[in-house]
Order: sequence, then C-alpha cells, then structure tokens
Amino acid sequence: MMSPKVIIVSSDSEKFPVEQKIAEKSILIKNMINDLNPDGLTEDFEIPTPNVRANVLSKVLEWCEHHKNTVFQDDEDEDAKKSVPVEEWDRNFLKVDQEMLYEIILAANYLNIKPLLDSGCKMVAEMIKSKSPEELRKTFNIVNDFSPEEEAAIRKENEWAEDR
Amino acid sequence: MSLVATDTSLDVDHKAIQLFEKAIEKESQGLMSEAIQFYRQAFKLNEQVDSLYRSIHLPKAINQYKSERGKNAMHNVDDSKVAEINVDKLIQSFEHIDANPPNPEDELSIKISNLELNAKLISPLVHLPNDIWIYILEILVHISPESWFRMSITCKKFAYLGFNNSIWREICNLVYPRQIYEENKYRKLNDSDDDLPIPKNQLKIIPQYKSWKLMLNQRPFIKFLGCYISVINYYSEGGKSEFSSSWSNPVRTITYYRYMRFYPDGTVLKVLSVLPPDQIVPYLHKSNKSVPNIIEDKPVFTHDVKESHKIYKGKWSVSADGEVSIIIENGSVPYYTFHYNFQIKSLGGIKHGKLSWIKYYAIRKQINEQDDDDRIGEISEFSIRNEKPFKFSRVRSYILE
Repeated sequence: MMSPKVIIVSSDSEKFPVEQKIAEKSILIKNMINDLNPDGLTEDFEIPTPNVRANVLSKVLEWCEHHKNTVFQDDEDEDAKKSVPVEEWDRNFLKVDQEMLYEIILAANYLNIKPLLDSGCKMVAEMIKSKSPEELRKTFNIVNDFSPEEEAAIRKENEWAEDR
Repeated sequence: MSLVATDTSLDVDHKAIQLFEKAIEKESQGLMSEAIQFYRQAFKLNEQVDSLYRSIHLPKAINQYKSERGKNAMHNVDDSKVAEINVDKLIQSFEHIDANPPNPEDELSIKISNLELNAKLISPLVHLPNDIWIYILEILVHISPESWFRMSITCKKFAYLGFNNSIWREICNLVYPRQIYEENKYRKLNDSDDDLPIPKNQLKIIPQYKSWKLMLNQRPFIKFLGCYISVINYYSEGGKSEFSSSWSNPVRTITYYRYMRFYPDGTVLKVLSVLPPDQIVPYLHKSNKSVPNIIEDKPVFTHDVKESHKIYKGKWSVSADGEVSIIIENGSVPYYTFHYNFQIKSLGGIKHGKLSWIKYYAIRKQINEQDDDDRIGEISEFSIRNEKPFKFSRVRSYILE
C-alpha cells in the first residue's frame, strides 16, 4: 500500500502532495501532524499554509526534498553556527531575486524550517558584506535619513566597536 | 617650441608628485628618515608640489569618500552640537521609523512609465521582521564586523536594529569569554565556570553594568582581529666628516617597530623589526616561525632567519582592570625569560585600542640541568623610556581561531 501523503495547500489554493518525511522538515507541519494524528498518518492529510504563495511553496518544498536525508546539527552552539558559511547547494538554490529571497525567508520563518531560514539570512548577510554604506543604500534602495549631526554622533560613539 | 617646454615641465611635475606620494607612504609607516628624503627630492623638482598634489588628489579623495558615505560626508558639523546628542536616546527614538526609498525627483529620473516607478521601489528585504534583521546583523557581527557597522549607519531604521541591546550582548559574548584572565589562572581542575573569579557566562557579570553597551565601553579587553603595533623613532647623531665646517653633527632617524598579535588560546606572537607593517602583518601567524624575505615582490621563507624576521611566541593574560602580562620563555636571549606588562587604554574614541608600557624585565633562568650560574633568578629591568605605546589596527585577513 502507498504510504499516506501530506498535502500542503498554498495561499492561492494550489495543492502539493509530498512524502511525510519531506513535509516534516517544517517543524510547524511536523507538530501539526503529530498533534492531530497521535497514532500516525493513516490517510492523506491536508495542511493549509495561508501565508505562502504557490511559487514560493514549491521552491521551499524543493529545498525540503533535496535535504530529505540531511541531518542538521542541533542549535547547541549558536555562536559557531553563525560563522559557518552557506553550503554550496543552498547558495545556488538561493541565487534568486530579492523579492523571492524575501518570501523564502518569511516562509521558512513561518513554517519553522531553521536551516533554510539560516541559509536565507546568511545570503542577505553576504549581500551586505564588503559594501560601503552608500552602496548598501543603493542595494536596498533606501535613503540616508540622518541629519549630519546625528550621523556624526552615532559614528563617534559606536564605530570603534567594529574593532575587536 | 612652447609645447616642448610644457611637456617637460609636466614630466617634472609628474615625477615630483610620484616622489611626494612615496614620501607620504613612508611617513604613514613611520619611516621618517626615508620620508624626509623623498619630500626633499619632491620639493626640489617643484616648490609647490604639496598644493599641486592636493589640487589633483583631494577632489579624487573627496569623491571617493562621498561615494562611500553618502550625503552627510564632508558636511561640516558643529562639534558642540554633536557632543550634546545622547546617542542611546536618539537611537531609541528611531523605533517606529521606517526606511524610505530615495525621492525620485532627487534622482533626476523621469517618470515615463510604471516600469520606471517599479524600479524605484524599496527592496522587499527591508521589510523582513525585526527579529530576522537582528539575526542577520548578528551574523555580520561574527563574519564581518565592519559590515555590521556600515549596514547600521545606512538609515534610522537600521541604526535602531544594529545598535540594539541584543547586538551589544552578542559582541560582549564574542569578546569576554575569550579573554585569558589572570584571576582565573589558579582555578582548580574541577572548578565549574560558576566557581571562577571571572566566569565565562556573561549573564553573571552584566549586573555590574547598566547595559551590554556600557560593559563593552568600560570593561577592558584584548582584541584578536588585528595587530598591535608600536612605532619607535629615534635620532642617532653621526660624526662630522674631516674638513666639515658644520656646527652640528649630522642626524639620522632610525625607525623600528614592535608587533604583537594575540590569540584566544593564550598565545601571543611578538616581532621586533625594522621592517614596516606591510612586510610583517600578513605573516604574523601562529604557524609561522618567521616572516619571509621579500625577493622580487614574492615572499620567500629561508632557513637561516635574520633576527628582525623572527616571530617569538609567548603567553598572555589580562587582569579584570586591564593589565596585560606577557611572558616569553624562548626569546632572543637563551638564558632570559622576558616579561612585559601593559595597561589597556583608549585611543581617542577607540576604546581599549592602546597598550601602554608599565614594565619590561627579564629573569635569568636555568638553561639546562648543569647550569648552576649564580645569576639564576636575577631580575634585569629594562628601560621603557624610549618605548612607545602599542596601537591596535584591524587586519581584515585575521579571523578568530
């Protein structure tokens, strides 16, 4: 007999049937399955994700599929985790436009997929790395809203802390 | 005819500027003697070489500076007004301020179509929830501290996120647990962290300070992501030549450097050399016993190492009030153990960026078991009168290890 599937429904009502193992990369979904089916899945199980659009959901599920058998380390050492670079596959997977990266990060946050959230945040961090403040303003299309005095005061008080 | 003349004078000016630039480079490395030589040569070629240099390079430098920092760069600010600003309160007042896209009219763009307008929208990433942005900024604190600061100075919204209490805590947690505390040296083997005079868990220490930011400001620490350098210039008087009618003896400036790099495992590297920073700093690493010779612009490590190329390894520790003590067992003299004591101080606005000399001495030690020299245990104190404090410089290639 075929094992029952988890059917994830996007905000725009598209249905994505996936293996339970893949769906459970999302801790949110995993907990929902366990809470509502304490004896295990006996039939297909539908889960709505009202915050995630179909094109984003399919991207997120592609990630889950790829990492089906990946064992992620627990968050024991938060410090070490923050300085680990993004692994090659995730890096290529996340080479998307800013809009898509934004939606993937939000979806990973909502669905509670920590390793994907982590990779997404690190991609943003890398976009920021080695750019000047003015280049960063161009990258994110934001305007410098400090008065000259405010900027000078903040620089004077905080800039030294980058040296450590 | 006149064409030829201008041509050569241009050439001369060009040469003068080159020499002037060389002089500036040497001066920035503290090589005063060489710098003066180049300045002299440059001024001989063109008496106004300094203003010539400024007229060419200053606009370039200003443009560069503006393109990196944006609208407030080169803006004259009233220092007394700046000093009146309470930065913590100011940043707190940014809590509900959103980031804004540039005004399209400022950009001199013509609104032809919706497409044009779309391209001017703010990046969606800016709208990520605050806790996610703080996480991203925390990652930057780890992987590229400069980038953390640059992102946080882009606008009010990011200043609020980047100079947030949890970021200061992150920095404290990166800095203090890696210090080798003098007070913790005599811990017993099975002492837990809680039993230590200075525990690694910063939550035990934060009650002594009003905030994480103040802890970082007030509590001295050794920095690992760069090099401490002390530049010493002194004059040496030479002899007059036989028939010289000069009143004074010729004077020569001699420059040398002391370098130190600290590691969180308690190792410190020390170099004393006439070689300028660019020939030492890149090679100052635990795995190297010496810095290479530079032959035809390429580093070459040789077996017979000159004294000025040697990297000495020692042990360091720091006390809670910022007194650093360094012990070098295998230094330049085989029968000496060298001891250095420094006080961590601030360098203008750069907190904890300076090491001032307190004491420098050596203790005679037993070289081998047969050594029964009377002088074993004798302390020789060295003068620190001519020594200069160490200043910290961030080195991009250094990472926490």
